Amino acid sequence: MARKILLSLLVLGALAAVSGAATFSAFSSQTTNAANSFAAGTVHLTDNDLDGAMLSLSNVQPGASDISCILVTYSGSVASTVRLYGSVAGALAPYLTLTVTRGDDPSPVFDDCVGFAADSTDYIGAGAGIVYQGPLSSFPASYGTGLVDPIPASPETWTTSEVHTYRFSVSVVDDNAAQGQSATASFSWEARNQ
Amino acid sequence: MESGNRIEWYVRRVGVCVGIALVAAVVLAFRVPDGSRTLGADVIFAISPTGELGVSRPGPFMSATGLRPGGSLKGEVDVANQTGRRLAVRLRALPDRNDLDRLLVVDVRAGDTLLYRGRLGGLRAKTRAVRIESGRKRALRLRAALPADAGAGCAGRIESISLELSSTVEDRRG
Repeated sequence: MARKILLSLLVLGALAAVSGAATFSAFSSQTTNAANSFAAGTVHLTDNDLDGAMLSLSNVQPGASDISCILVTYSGSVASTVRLYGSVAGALAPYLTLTVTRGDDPSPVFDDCVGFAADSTDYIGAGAGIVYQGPLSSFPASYGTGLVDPIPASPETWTTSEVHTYRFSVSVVDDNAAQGQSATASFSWEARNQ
Repeated sequence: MESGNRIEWYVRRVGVCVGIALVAAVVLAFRVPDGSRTLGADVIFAISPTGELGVSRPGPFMSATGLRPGGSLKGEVDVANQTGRRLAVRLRALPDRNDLDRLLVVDVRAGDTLLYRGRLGGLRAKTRAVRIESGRKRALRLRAALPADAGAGCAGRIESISLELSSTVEDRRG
């Protein structure tokens, strides 16, 4: 009798092993994740000026002005914030009023502002889209003091392929001290992923 | 051994065999069947604007899943010259891997002008140039295909292909 029970148990065990192996063979297939790669993200900001100047005033009188628009494109892969600052030199700079307006242009062409539409937000209380208004000589000179785009309270997080157009307007104030003076300026947008 | 015991001995063994056969049949019935089709390739083409050039559809603009030999995909994207000068615009591909370099055939056109036709690997070099006037845009049409004789090399491949635009000034300020 004991021999029969033992034999039955052996048969059941063998069946369990066979069916178990068959079952696991159906549901335990293996997959491999190979060729893993690692690449650092990029922070990349470009414009459409082809290194040409956007503002130019020569032999002007008080009230003279120039307006230009520039498109800034973010093509980096990691989200970033952007600051605007400049490098200004020359004795005429205090007598030049600079207004920078942020907006969009559906058909941008450097340096015209035909399709420019200012952002509807009054960022600094100077009007829709205006992010800076004041003497050219007071324009921030470094990233640390730069204008956070568009305002420090709610900085824009720039993502891949994001674009914004900036309209620059400069005019000469009515002041005799400006006579015969000159100035130069360059403007920079700097993106950092922080 | 008596005749009755011998019959019982045989019946028991036949029963065991039938039981094993039944279990085997049940296991086979629930077996996951093999796939009968060839796995295709997933292909994504993406493009990004540059400072000088805008694109109508930034990011992925044409894709196919399960692309098999004999299959193809098409896409179109407008490229706009945002500068104040006429530009000569070229294109090149930056695939994230080279699995399909010798398999995928790519055709790039600007209007009727053929800019490139050949294997994806050859598109790592820049295409012929297309002129775009200041403020104008041109439609770039792309077609990518896996030839019927591509074989199984494309099976299960997933490839994201970034198209990089570059430009040079063609002439004086216009």
